[in-house]
Amino acid sequence: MKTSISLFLLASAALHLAVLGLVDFSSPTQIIDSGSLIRVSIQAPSSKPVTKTSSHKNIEQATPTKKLVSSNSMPVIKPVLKKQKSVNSSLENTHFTPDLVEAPIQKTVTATEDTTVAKHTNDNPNIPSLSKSVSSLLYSDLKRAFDLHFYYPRMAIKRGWEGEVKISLRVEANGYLTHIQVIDSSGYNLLDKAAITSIDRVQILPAAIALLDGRSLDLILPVQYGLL
Amino acid sequence: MNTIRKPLLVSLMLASVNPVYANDKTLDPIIVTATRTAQTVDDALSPVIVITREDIERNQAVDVAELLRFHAGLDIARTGGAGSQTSLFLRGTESDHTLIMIDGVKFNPGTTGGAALQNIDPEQIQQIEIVKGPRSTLYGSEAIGGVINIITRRGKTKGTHATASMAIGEDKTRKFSANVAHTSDVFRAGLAVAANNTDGFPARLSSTAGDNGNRNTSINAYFGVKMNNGVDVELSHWQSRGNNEYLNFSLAARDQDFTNSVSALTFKANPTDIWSTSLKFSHMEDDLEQNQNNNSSRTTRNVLDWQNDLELNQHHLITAGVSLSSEKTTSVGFSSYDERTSTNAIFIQDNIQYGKHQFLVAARNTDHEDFGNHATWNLEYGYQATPKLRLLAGVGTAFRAPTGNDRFGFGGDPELQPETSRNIELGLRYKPTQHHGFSVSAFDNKIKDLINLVQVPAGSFNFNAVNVGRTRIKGIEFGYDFAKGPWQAKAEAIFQNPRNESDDTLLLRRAKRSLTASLVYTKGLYRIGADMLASGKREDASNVTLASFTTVNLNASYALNKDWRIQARLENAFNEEYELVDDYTTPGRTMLVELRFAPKGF
Repeated sequence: MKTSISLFLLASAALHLAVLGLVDFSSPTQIIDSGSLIRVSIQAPSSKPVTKTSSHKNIEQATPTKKLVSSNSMPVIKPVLKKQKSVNSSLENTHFTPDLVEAPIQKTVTATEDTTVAKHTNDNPNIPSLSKSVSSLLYSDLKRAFDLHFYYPRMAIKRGWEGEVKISLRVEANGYLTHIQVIDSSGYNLLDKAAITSIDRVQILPAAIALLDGRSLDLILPVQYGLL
Repeated sequence: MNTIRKPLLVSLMLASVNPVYANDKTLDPIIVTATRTAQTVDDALSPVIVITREDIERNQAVDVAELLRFHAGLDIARTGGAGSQTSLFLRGTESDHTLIMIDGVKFNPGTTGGAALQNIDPEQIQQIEIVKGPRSTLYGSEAIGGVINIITRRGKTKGTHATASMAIGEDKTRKFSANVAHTSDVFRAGLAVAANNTDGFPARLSSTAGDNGNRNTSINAYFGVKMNNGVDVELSHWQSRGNNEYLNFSLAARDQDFTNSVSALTFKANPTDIWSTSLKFSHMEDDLEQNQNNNSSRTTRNVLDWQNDLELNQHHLITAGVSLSSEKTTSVGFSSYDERTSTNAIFIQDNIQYGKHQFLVAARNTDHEDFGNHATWNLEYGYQATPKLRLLAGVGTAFRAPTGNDRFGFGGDPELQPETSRNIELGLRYKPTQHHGFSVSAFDNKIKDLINLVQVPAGSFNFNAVNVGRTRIKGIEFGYDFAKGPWQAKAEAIFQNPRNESDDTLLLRRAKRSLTASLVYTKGLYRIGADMLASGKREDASNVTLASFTTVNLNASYALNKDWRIQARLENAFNEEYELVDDYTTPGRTMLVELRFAPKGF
């Protein structure tokens, strides 16, 4: 018995030394794959030209917004924007503004975008259009599919890991989900991977074929992992 | 309106799928949630009770037994007031059939097996987790009725925080506590001191001697470092020392000094995303010394626990580990001994999840210096029938290793085998709305090879400890909880039949029926609450039957400002007279007033 104790102790000590000393398991770095992101245009209902006051309003509103998103979203979106070569900084603000500003401002933002990105028309000749009802149908379809496949990694539960990961993905015209990548890490590789795996499992959204009408759609999907 | 004019390069957030439409409602992101698991609960398959810090502060209990007894199925028997010998019968099992841990370190002494619950000051406790059912496979000996893990307080939020409290009550009860903690990204440290003194009351009904008081001073300290590579190291120490007055067999006043402590050095690391490992060196001490003679009993135990969690894939979560224990038990008195015992164990558990189905398979081999190898196992199944309804079934075995007293004490036999149990359990949990929750569990726990002292030969005064006893406890438990607006309510009930199968009698001091309930109302600065315990009649030694009783504790709290609170508690508000042990006193209506400094962040 005495020898088996010593053996246990030795084996355990050796293993722990190996684990504690030799392996560097510093926090996982963000997975950022700045592969090609094709963006989708959605049209503003209002066709009013941008006025000076509205632009001013936009800037005022955008300032706090920028602060909010700068810490996580900005570094991620930048490489994407670089690829598109000619996007100015005002666009960076507007990308994430709609999520955070009040409804009337959103109109203004959109209008600003319209003018800013007009020059890209030629780069992307096949711009699909989506009606509000189509997008929400597609969303609920996605949500249903995800509800079946999303899971919380049990090791993350044990360790008390929480966070939000932003995933970009494309719904192809044939309904398949492609270009699935993390654009904003939760800070934990395990949660990021779980989100990717979950979306991978969805594979196809049959309903999208009819809804998208031959075009593809790029989406950013925030996934929040939270412990109750 | 919906025609497109110009292309727009915008990353389309699903959270607001169509930001351009001003009236579009904002859609939520995908939200994946899970229930934060309690430290002791590795699975959601066994019945669990969690007593939180909030419950403890509201209840104002002066000892742990007071907290436990307001949950049906946790019968307490004690020989007097605070600090007196306390026995816990979890689901009708014996008092040495519940494993008590402090911060995951076994607290039961090796001499008698029953833990000194009376010496743990609630002021040091963050949370109590009670897992019912056989849990020897993960935790080893004594976990026949269940496991109770008492988690000491830790600073929670970053920065330096302090709390303090002072209480005075009848029977010259004086309580004091001070607690300071610092938490940063890398370091954390804390020190807490608490004193809990009372003059008490005469412990026995037939006594004409004075009060039997109790003094308890405890400290809890920890220091932890979280290194850059994720390795977490913590050194912690909890101890409780004091003096307890009691009456001996012939009603003479006696007192004893006690010391209990648990120290641990814990390393935790996440070598990979899917692998967590923890290595814990712990030392416990349980010491009792009589002041009127030289009798004493003492246990010290050094344990090395190595536990690993490995999430093989989405379906399999493996827990495996090794536990090496070296225990020294010393007794001076009626029968004296000084022995060292080593126990080693290896265990593995697979927690399997396939959609709505969850399985738990676990096995342990314990190698004890004297009785050799003993295997225990658990097999459990959970089925999420609907999002609101979960069905559970399980079967498992557990054991209790013979204690120092069993092996070397009066009539002791070092060759004794462990007491063993086999439990079958069926249960359901139903949560129809977010405000209500129901639970039901039925269990059948057969325990055999119980160690009894037997006269050999019959009629002589020569006793031998033998593995002969058999008990069987069948029961059903109900739970209900409610929380809505300012109201919180809980109710638990148990119907059980704890029988000694050898002579077909009821096991002593355990009620066949008990009901507990609590009701709390919070409004603005005020909070009022009530806790009720109704217990059926119980058998005691010498064919005495202890009458059924109902006792109610009332408590109220008023926030003086954001940091200070004044609280009051009226124990046994209706002055019910009852006995938990024949001829031993229980507290009458008793008032306690407390002032608490508890800023947020602790």
